This record gives sequence, structure tokens and C-alpha cells, in this order.
Amino acid sequence: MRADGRPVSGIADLRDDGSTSCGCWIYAGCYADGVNQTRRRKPGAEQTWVAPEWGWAWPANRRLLYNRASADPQGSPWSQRKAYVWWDAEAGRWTGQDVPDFPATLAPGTEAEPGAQGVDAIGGGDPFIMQADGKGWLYAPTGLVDGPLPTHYEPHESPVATPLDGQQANPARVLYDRKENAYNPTAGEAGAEAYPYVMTTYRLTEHHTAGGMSRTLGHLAELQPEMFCEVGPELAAERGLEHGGWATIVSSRTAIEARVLVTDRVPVLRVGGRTLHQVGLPYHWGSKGLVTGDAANDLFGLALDPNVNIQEVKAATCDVLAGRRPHGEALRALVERHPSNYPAHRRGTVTT
Amino acid sequence: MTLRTLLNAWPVVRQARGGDPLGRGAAVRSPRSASLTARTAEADRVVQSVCPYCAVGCGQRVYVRDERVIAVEGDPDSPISKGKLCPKGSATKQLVTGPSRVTRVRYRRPYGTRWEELDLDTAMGMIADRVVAAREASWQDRDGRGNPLRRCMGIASLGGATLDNEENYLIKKLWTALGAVQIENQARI
Repeated sequence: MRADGRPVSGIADLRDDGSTSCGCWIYAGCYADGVNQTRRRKPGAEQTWVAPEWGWAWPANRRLLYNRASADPQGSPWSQRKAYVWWDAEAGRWTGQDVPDFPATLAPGTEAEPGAQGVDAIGGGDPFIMQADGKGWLYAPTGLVDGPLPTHYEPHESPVATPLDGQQANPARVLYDRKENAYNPTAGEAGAEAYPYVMTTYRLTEHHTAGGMSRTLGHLAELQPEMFCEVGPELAAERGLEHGGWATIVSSRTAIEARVLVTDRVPVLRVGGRTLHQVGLPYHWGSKGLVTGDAANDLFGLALDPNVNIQEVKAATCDVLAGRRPHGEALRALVERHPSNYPAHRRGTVTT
Repeated sequence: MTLRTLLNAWPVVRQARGGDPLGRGAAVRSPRSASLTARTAEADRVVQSVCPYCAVGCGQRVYVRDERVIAVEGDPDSPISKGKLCPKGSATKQLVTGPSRVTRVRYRRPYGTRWEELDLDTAMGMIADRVVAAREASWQDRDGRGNPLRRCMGIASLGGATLDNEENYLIKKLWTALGAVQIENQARI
């Protein structure tokens, strides 16, 4: 907003001399012309497919960031069918379906002056303007704890040894060495065969996160009433699981029970010359609500990626037994004795 | 009653004789169906909104009568969802008006084992007291070398991923104004 009370029309109107004020720069312009731009509801059918007049997006009502990358270095769309932002040579400026995310008149062939600073150091072919060099990075010399180049690591718990270079899991991952957070032995470690399957978690359309907004509603509870584990017919046969019956899924942390859903949607993998079965677990259940069930995330240990510290709850190892799980002390005993020959001294230790 | 009237009372005959071979119009009308109206027709007003579940941002129309939500439908004007809603979005009315929604302040006192109900004014007063006390108790004006700090170390804020931009903006402004520095959100990256 300007000192006289008129709203600014965008970021470019802001001044550092006290004549304007702004709570958060990315929202500058959301009240341009005194109109609440975020309130706009022009029907989608009455505007372009980018629909710039449906609400408002920060910054500058730009719908896709770095959209100069939709054009080639010369400024022409990479694909005519998906043309989004391009250089208009006649007008001498960037134009397109969206608000260009680039200095408006910086021509495609322009080279930055040697010694230029900040945005002035961006050339006409450098779309990623928030990066120091304006480039998208495959080689990332700074910023990533586990850079500079992307590579493949197996998950912290994996039934297969990495075929790549002998570094099994991300060496910079964050682990917590405490007995509540025991890890399954991974490929190549003693006892790994006790957890021969790969488990992953996923969502159902009918539920939302842990179910607080969906297992509490009659309609949604009725549509997806029970926690289940999804397995292929081969795994079902191997462990004696019956479609619609009960299974117990076991990790070093705990064991949960779920109804068995046998489908052919879960493919059998062939990895390193062996057959690998997968177990799919929706993670929406818990002990409260209209429909209750065991929580899939209880099965997973905390092993964090080193950059943004997100725990690895999409890939880990497990075992599956037919039937329901025990409770209380018997549950603890099942987890700790699984399998009975698993060396006790390895429990709760951090492996690399 | 003539035979003709009798026959015409049978929808399949009307369907075969009239101009409605697919049975989706006049042939299947009855006094009962003619008297029905959509529940949305009874609304005093319609509010355009955004689905409260995931981050896709599907458009919703909230139908209101006597200042109460009577229906929530997909918004055909939305360029994002073009009138469609998934099962969760379609259940929004139940989320808003269902019996599982907590509409009173619930309080569990320290060492308490049950929830108590409080009126909103009492609860707001209790929160304000705690904020003021925590801020005073943990205020740091300067560091050991006299450099100004002017911060409050006794209050932290943790937001959730369903908070919208405007809510996060206000949360950040509120706590920063009070001097808190540990302001986090569960939504990563």
C-alpha cells in the first residue's frame, strides 16, 4: 500500500524510502486497483486454459514459476501445442498465456555484463532467476548435504543389495539409535531374511491423512470401513493369506493387523535374480473415529533424508503372517522374537 | 378410465409412443417426480468456496439457507475441477454439519483425565494470560555483550499443512510481533 492509502499494483511499486508498506512482498498486488483480486471467480469456460482471472496467485498472479523455461534459448516455445510463454521480437518483450517469470524486456540472446550482480547477472537464456546463475542444476555444488550429483541409494531397510557402487544407503541420512526405533537388518546383514517383503504406504480417495476429517464422517467411513493390506496372489499363497481374512504385518517396531486385499495391482518384482513381493498399506487408520484400525505408520522406523529431514515411510521391509495380532505383552514378544533366531544384540543398533 | 388413459399411465408405453425413446424426459414423469425440486433450489444464497480437504483446490458451491449450510456441490465455474468433487469433497457438508464436529471449546486441565467444556471468552482469556506470562518469563532484551535481542524464547508455533496462505501469514505476523522466533510448519519444502 502507498502512503496515500492506494494499494500497489505489484512488487515493482514497492519502495524502500518509506512511501509504501507491505506485509509480505509476494502478496504485493493482490489488492491492485482496490479490488480483492483473490476473490475473482470468472468462470473457467469464459477465459483461457490458464484461467488468470480465477482467484490470484503469488507472486504477480503468475501461475507457473520459472515459466521462461517453457521456451527454448531463442525464446520460441519448445512445443507449439504447449506454448506458454515466449519472446515477442516485434514488441521486444516476453509474452504468453501466463505472466512471464523473467525480466520483461531481457531478450533471449542477451549475455550478462562481466561482473554484474544479482538479477543483472542473469542472461537472456537463464530461466531459473532465483538461482545465482539462472540455471537449473543437475550438478549442485552447494545447498545439498548429499550432493553434488544425484545417485541411487537403496532405502535404509531394503531386501536387496545395491547393484550400483557398494554404498547401500544414503551415507548422510539421519538415524536415531534408540530401542523404540529399532531398524530391520538390511540386505547383507544378519537377520535380513526375517523381513523378506517390501512395504509401502499410500492414500485412498475416500480418506484424508490419518482420518480425522474422514473416518469421523458416516459417508466416508462407510465407503472405506476397514484397514487393509494389499498383496498379490503369489504372496497370499506363500503366507497362506485369504482374501477378506486377516493378516499381521511385522517390523522391528511393532506388528499391526489388517484385512487382506488380494489384487493383481501389486506387481511381483524381479530384482537381482530373485522374486520380490510388495505389501501396500493405506495409512489412514487409527484408534478413534467411526471406523478404527491399526495405523500403518506405526510399522515404520525414523530414518530421515539429510536435506529436508523427511522420514522414510514409503519404503521399508516387513514380514507378513496369517491371522490377527496379539495385544499387550504378547505383541511385544511377537515383535522381539521375530524371528526366534534373530540375534538380540543387533536390536536397536544403528547400521550403515 | 379409458383403456387409452390406463395405457398411458404406464411409462414404457409413453416411452415407446412419445418423443422420448430413451426414457429420460416426459415419459418418466409422474405427479410425484414433477413435485420434486433440487435441495439446492431452497437456498437463500450460494457461496463459492474451495474444498477443505487436499491441496488440489477444487471449487465448491456452498448452499446456505437461514445462515446454515444445506448443501455443498462442485462448482462448474472452477477451471481447476469443472464441477467435479471426489468422495471427500462430496462429503464436505457432513464435515461441516455432522455430529463429530467439535463446536465447543474443550479443555483438559493439567493431570486431568477428562475433557471439560469452556465458553469461548473464558478460553481466550486463559490463552492470553498464558501468552503474556510465557512472554514475560522468557523475554531476552540483550545478550551478554549488550547487543539487542528483543525476543521471546518461551513460545513456539507449529502449523499444519491444511492452513491456508492467509492463516499462515497472520500466524507469522502475530508471533513475530510478540517476539517469538521458533515459528514452524509441518509442510516441508
